[in-house]
Amino acid sequence: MLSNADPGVRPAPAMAANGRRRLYVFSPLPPQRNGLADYIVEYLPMLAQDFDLSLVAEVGRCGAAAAYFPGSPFEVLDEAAFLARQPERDAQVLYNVGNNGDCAYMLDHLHRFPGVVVVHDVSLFYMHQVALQMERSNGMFNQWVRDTGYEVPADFVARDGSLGRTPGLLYQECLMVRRIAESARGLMLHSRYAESRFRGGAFDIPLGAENGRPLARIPHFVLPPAPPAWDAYQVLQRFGIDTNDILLLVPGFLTGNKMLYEVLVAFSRACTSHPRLKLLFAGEERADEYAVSERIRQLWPDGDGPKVTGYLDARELDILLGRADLSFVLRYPTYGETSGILPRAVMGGGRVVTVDIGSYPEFESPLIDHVSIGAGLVDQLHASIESLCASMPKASDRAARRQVEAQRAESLSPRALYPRIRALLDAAREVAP
Amino acid sequence: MNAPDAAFAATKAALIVDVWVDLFAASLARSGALGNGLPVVLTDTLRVLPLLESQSPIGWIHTSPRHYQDHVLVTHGQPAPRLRIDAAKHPADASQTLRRASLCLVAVPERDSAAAMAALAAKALQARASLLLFGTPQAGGWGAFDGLVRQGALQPVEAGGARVLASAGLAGALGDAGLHDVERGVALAAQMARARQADIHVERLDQAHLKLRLRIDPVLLVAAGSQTLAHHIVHEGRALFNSRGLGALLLPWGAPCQARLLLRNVRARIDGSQIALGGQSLAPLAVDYTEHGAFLKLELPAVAPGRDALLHLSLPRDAVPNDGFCDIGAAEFTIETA
Repeated sequence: MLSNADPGVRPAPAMAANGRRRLYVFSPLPPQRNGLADYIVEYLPMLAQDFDLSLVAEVGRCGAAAAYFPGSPFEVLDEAAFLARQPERDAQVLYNVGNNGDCAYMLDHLHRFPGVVVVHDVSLFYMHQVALQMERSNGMFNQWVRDTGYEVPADFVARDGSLGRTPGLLYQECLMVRRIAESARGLMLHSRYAESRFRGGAFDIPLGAENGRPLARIPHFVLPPAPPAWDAYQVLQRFGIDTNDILLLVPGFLTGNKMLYEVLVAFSRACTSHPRLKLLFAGEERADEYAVSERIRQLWPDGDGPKVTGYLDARELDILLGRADLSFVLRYPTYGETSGILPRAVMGGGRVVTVDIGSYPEFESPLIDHVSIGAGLVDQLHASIESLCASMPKASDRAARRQVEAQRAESLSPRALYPRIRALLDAAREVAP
Repeated sequence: MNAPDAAFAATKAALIVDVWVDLFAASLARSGALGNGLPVVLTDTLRVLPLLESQSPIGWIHTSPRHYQDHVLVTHGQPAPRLRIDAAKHPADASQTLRRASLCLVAVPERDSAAAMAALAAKALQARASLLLFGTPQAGGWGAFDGLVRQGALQPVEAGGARVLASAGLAGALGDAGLHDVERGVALAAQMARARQADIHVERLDQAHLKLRLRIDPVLLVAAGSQTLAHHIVHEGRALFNSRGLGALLLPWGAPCQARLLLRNVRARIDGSQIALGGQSLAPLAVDYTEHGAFLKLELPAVAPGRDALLHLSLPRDAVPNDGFCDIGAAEFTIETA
């Protein structure tokens, strides 16, 4: 019943008693296995210092997220609690958006409660598809595609408006970012490549502070190198890595665009003349996209071929990156992902081969070699392996390289980058209507 | 009654003024006093007036952005969007609606949107609509209406702890009893029940107090926060939750009340549902599981001034079906006026 102390009869204060602004953050949250959850966690302590911080978790995930942050200086809200509270006029909202299903719930709020949007993937096509599938509203897809300025050929649209088949280029060209740009009060992208693609996708939406949508390019952070692990030897033993092996590593989820076939062919060529070479696929296989284990069995029927580790936690992956002599961080096509695996691989001190497309050329290090996409790719990968075998660094050189990379990474640490995020939030507040 | 108790009662009376406004406006509409004109409500929050709506279409004009789509029922048809106009985005539509108004109910807001609302109310006055201004005496926006009160010669009306001003014609219709006319409420409820226009039962508690029990089609109350959910509600004609088990229900009035909701198609116990109104999380008084679904009984606090009268619920994940939607099959509200 109503009482004088009933908080339900008092509107939430526009500004907290301590004078700080209120900030609601929508993001996948731990313990979800999602890179976006890992990303936002690094910034939460700093955001909580500057703002009265509330994390808004997807329905059904609030309890687990709240349990993950016991005694934290911020609160975790359910979507229902957020909606009932009605965000105050002065409050700001931050959306941490990537191209995956864990972010689909944000589409229900992003257009109603405009805020600053961190766009991790330039194409948000898949997220929109998942959102409509979850809501059993596939029939709206054609309309949403039209909203973003594209026309799906009639042959590909079912009678109810759903996407019957996907024209090959649609995923690449129709980025589904226009509606998000239109609603946003501020935007953050990680690279020049992502910004240029985003501007292309939101071609008729005026961006920039002068148009009420400040846009900032802030790179994905790089975490400091992992401390030496006491069980590194055991982890390496588990995957059959010996001291004398030359370890080639493909880190991360083994998705269909990681150019796994090209790596296998280049490795098979190289290992005929370098028996110490070992190739390890350090991640969870996505067999429906590319059945890498099956292909290994075909190419090495005796079972002496490369190995697939399955899902690794961050610590195990860092151990392998710290041991790898050469890591392959390849992707084609790329939708502008910024998973952070490239800097992590470099931090390990080994050489790294990556592609010269997307945002990958923007991360610079003397340890990185770029390869071009095309017919000569396998030859280039093979040449990288040969080059490594011809000049294997000494252990002391490797330690020095790690040191240099760690120093370089300091300017890309979350603490170093946070002032730019804060500045973006301030700019968004300045231009808010 | 000591001073704090009196102040508390006055606050409560002011918070539930919309119950009395609804009863009065519905009785006007039922008596034919509104002629061919449209009752129009000026407000900055999301509300409904279910009794008035049972007698006549209502034009809602909002002076703050609204974030939900809600519905009315079209005879023999699917639910249709309730006529709500955002005055800032569609000023021409707002003006046109006000020109058709015969009665303009003005929920006096806090300071933010008061000037805009007063300007809109002036248009209704120009169109010779009768005006009724209501709100808590503390509402910050009253000052913006000073000119309008003089221009329209609006008269104060007895309304318990609330502040109500009305055009001379309306003030006359309200009579000496003012807004809290128990006789009018009882008579109206009897007429509407006889005509099957509303499932309402009114019980007289004393000379100035009523107990109302309203059963209402939940489709009239459900509010969709997303395009996809609004689509499903209209398409299926049901008061749906979304596929994640998130739903919102407009409360018929802002008064503290008891609600009883039938939640259908839930696949597990829902005792752990998140239920929120304003800044408050609520726990159910009881949940009864039957072959029809789960009956959720709630004790709802008053809706604070300036806030949407929206109850938000999120159901536990395991209660949400993979192949369909949960919905609200029936809704009953019991209110005691103050």
